[in-house]
Amino acid sequence: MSINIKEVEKEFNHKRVLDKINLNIVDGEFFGLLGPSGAGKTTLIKILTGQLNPTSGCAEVFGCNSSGLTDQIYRNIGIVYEKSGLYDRLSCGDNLYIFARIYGIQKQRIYEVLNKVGLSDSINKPVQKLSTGMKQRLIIARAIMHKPKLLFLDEPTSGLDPVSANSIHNIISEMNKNGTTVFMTTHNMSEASKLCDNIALLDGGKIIEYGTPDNICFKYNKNKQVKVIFKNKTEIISLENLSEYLSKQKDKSHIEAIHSLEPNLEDVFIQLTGKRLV
Amino acid sequence: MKLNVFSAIAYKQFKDIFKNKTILLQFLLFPLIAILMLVVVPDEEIKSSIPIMFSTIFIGMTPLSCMASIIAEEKEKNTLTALKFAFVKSVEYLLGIGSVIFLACLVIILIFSLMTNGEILVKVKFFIVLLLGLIPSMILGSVLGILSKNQMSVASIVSPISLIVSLLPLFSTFNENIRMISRFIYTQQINDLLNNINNKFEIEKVLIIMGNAFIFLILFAVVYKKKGLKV
Ligand SMILES: Nc1ncnc2c1ncn2[C@@H]1O[C@H](COP(=O)(O)OP(=O)(O)OP(=O)(O)O)[C@@H](O)[C@H]1O
Ligand SMILES: [Mg+2]
Repeated sequence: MSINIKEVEKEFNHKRVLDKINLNIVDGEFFGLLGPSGAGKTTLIKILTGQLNPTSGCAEVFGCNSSGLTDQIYRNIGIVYEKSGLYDRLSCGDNLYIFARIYGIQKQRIYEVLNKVGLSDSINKPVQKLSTGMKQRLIIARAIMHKPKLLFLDEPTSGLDPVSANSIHNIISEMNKNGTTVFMTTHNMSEASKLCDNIALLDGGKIIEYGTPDNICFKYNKNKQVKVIFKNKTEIISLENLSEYLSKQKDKSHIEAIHSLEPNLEDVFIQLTGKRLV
Repeated sequence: MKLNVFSAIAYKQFKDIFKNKTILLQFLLFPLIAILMLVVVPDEEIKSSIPIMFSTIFIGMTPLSCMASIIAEEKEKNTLTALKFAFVKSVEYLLGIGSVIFLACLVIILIFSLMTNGEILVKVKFFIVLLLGLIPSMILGSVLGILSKNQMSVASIVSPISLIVSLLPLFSTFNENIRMISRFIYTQQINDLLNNINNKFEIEKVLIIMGNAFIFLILFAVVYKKKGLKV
């Protein structure tokens, strides 16, 4: 078990921001915490990484209480948080070198990770000359340089263009395939459905739904309809009538595609809360 | 304290000091003005007071505001949090940046010492007095850095304090009342020692400087215990 959260609550000046959160994240899992702005996502990551203490309840990372994480635990986690800091005036290479030295990692690894995030050519470039997407990739390079077993990502792609976001998705999903557990927060639904094994929907500090993205979507698929696309028209048919409808079609070669019409995560979220995510 | 962590932080600070224009300026400004004035001022008596005046201002200002602004910038830009996640301890951090600032200050006070005219012993004494002043200045700077939230707030507390500390000896020459207060401040004693560099060291003055350092150290211990390097 990588993360174990039991009845965690957090209050800021008597305002409840997290309400009885229970979650388990197993080794190797890609977990996504979804919710609108102010839901409490960053607060939960801060509790898990030992930056904040919960008001009540208990969060454990690798079996260690998160309010007293040891160096040994920190050695096994990588963290990418909102506004992660880089040394602006120093080069990409130097930014990584400082941390390589702290972790006692060979210099060779710097070239490896820079290559992985596609920044090999920028090794001597000062950080202040990088684009937002490049900075974010450098932050990820720094977070994975020491080969952590668990990676925390707080909105890793927020504010990035689709191409940069996609390259970041590839990096983290490759890490996950190689066995790294990932805890990611996002308010990007398609990102979550694409990457995550399990997701939790967080709203107003409460987990309002939990499961695999597909299961959540199917659960709220009340209409059970499919869309049949022909060369010159599209029709929406209820699932029950589909086989009858298809058998009535004389020339099936006109059918281009049949799509299921279950809601996406965004729709589910709106159904559950009446709010949009972003 | 781990040596690799300390040296990583020192490496960062060493690289940054040449790229950070505000800090670079703080180091070069006072010795450069002093050299310039030595060149243009003809009067021998004024000439001999130039290294004293500018080195006192340097000691009161540069180590203090450099320490404070480096810590504040790292808080503001979240690099300090990144270091924390790499389990860097506050001591390792403070010693890492402190050692580089200390060395850089040594270079500058060496330059000031070489500006004095006199035999080698005078220059050595000059150097030692400035070295003595460096310590309370750096501790006070660290205290202010720990207390501040970001660069904006650090500027608003560091500027008045460093101005008072570094310019008080100058003002006290015009006003007896200021002198009554300023004699308890380390920069005044530094200035006095430098002005009487040919006489033997007055232990009382040295004690006041050490007393200042001690008070700042207690202050440091209190804020460090209370706040550490928390952002
Ligand atoms: N240090 C703090 N003091 C007081 N209130 C806080 C503090 N940190 C967060 N909050 C409040 O807690 C709530 C949750 O904040 P949090 O940053 O966890 O949200 P989030 O889900 O990460 O939002 P976003 O998507 O905008 O990053 C917000 O209402 C915020 O105002
Ligand atoms: Mg957030």
